[in-house]
Amino acid sequence: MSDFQTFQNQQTLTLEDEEYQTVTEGRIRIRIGVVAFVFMLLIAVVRLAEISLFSPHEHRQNLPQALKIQRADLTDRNGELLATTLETYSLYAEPRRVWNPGETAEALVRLRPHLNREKLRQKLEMDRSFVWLERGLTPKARQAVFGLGLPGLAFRKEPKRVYPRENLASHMVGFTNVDMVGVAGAERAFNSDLTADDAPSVALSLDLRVQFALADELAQARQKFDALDASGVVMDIHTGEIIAMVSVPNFNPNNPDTTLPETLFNHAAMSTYDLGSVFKPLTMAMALEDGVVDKSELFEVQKPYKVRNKFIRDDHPSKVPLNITGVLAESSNRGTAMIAQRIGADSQQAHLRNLGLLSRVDYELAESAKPQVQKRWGEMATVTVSYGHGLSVTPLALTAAIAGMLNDGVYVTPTVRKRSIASPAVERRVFRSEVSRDMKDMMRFVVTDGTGRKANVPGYGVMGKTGTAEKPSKEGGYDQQRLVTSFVAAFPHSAPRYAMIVTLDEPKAIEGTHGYATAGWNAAPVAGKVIRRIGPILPGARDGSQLARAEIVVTP
Amino acid sequence: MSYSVSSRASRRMSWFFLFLIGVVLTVTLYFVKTHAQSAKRDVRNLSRAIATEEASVRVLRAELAYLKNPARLSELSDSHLAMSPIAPSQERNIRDIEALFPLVEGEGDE
Repeated sequence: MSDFQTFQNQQTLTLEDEEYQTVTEGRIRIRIGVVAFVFMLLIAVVRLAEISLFSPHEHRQNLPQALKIQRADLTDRNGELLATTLETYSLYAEPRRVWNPGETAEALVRLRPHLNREKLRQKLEMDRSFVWLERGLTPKARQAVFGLGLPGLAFRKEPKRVYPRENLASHMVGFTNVDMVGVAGAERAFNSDLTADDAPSVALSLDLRVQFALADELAQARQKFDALDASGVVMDIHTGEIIAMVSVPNFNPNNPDTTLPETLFNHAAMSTYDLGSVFKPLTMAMALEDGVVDKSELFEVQKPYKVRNKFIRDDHPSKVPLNITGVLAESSNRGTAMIAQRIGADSQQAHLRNLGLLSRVDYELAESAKPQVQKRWGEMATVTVSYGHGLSVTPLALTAAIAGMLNDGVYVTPTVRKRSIASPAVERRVFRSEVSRDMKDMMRFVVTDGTGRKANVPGYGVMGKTGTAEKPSKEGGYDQQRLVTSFVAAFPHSAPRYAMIVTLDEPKAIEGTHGYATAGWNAAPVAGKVIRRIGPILPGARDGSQLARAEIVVTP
Repeated sequence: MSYSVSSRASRRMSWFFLFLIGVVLTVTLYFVKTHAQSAKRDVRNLSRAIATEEASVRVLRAELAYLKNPARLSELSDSHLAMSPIAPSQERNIRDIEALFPLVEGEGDE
């Protein structure tokens, strides 16, 4: 019984055990399943949270790269655009994706005829993943290439410097290299200003209209007189701003690589010439400043005059003695020599240094030549320099000196940047006010009664001085056939505001100049033509009371 | 360890509410996130459009400058207009007007 009971109990226990085991196993499986499910869910939730809460970075790399214009515009003084940066499209190929190099090259050449088919094919056959085909295409050209529907061709946006005025003002504006770094002119001088972050456009002192008038007249004159080159400068004598600076031949800064190297040369600021008699006004001013000459004193210029056993030659000797005004008006070398001897070498050099003629013009552009100064500055040098021989300076340097002389005797350092609070004028006194006033009258007399009559333009009170210099010959001495003629002018006489120079390099005598190739026959009339054109444009250019300007009415 | 039926039920309710709040927050976050993303995309599109417009403004300005070249303008002016700069001789001071054009008797206002 007990045995049975025991057996029965055991049986029951066994039975209970089996049930329990099954249930336990089932529970374990369920738990494993739950744990696995929760684990998977957790992974999904964590990933979801990661995606939604922390912005994925690979997203940003897909953004289109906005092209940053890194170079500000250049404008003239009135805001007219001179240089700007445009987006261009540069064509490149992924040669590995091009399936027929020959056909692709053929199709491209049909569209862009200036490309070389053979070179293109070679490029497209290269085993590379990237090769430039052509840089700087317009949006239109890009669309046309897209229209070909050829695989493996693509574009990249690139900034390009564009000069919409082309040849006009090319020497002043300059240009940049392929990497958009300024290498000439204002582009070089103001490189850091133009490339700063969010840099505003830079306004030059230039007036495009005046620049055009000067460039146009000089180009015509160069052709008419068959000159090697011609240069000119117009300056505001109060502020030192260079309103126009021209050198012909000039170049197109949009493609400086394809132009002749000689056209890149800015003769107005980089060529030094013995400019001749245009130096005489400075000599007269020195004499008046030093008080070594009386205005009414007569000089015996009708007689031969010798300095150190050398005769001083006058092209058209006067028959009567002349006072200082007459010496200037008749451009007498003898008279000037006599005056120079009284000034003396030391004082002359001090004055020339003060006028900035013994050093390079200290303005922003790198294009500025050093003058060529004689090593030994004896009596003979003093005499020749007094009428512009034996000291080679740039036309720009002389214009600045003459401007200083007429600006009430205050020299203002030239600038190519429009004057503002940021770029104030740097001034120094070179002559007394009275000397400046006397010189004004004397230079006016040259135009009304002297050698500069062809430069006279009624209404603008033109003052001026001609200068004809012979170029040094290879054998020593001077070559009478190769001349440099200049006319330095200022206007208006009542209140001088503008100074300018016109220089022609080796002009030839033509029909109508009676065999002469001197400044009075070429440079002076050209200067007159320029003034006639720029006078109406420039403020304060009219002669007479400037205050009465508002009262002036126009008659037909 | 025995606990009452009511405390178990309230515990379940609070879990449920917590879960509900979690769901609501997740859904809200999803919508806010989506909205921010579309706003970002709008900004991106707008700045791209602005950049494109600015680029075309630059091109147009350059073209205008090219067309305004003094040489071209003077040519056009010569062929289409009969105008030239005012010469100084064409100007008169207003005080000289009376001398130049004297009043003729009988032509006055009175």
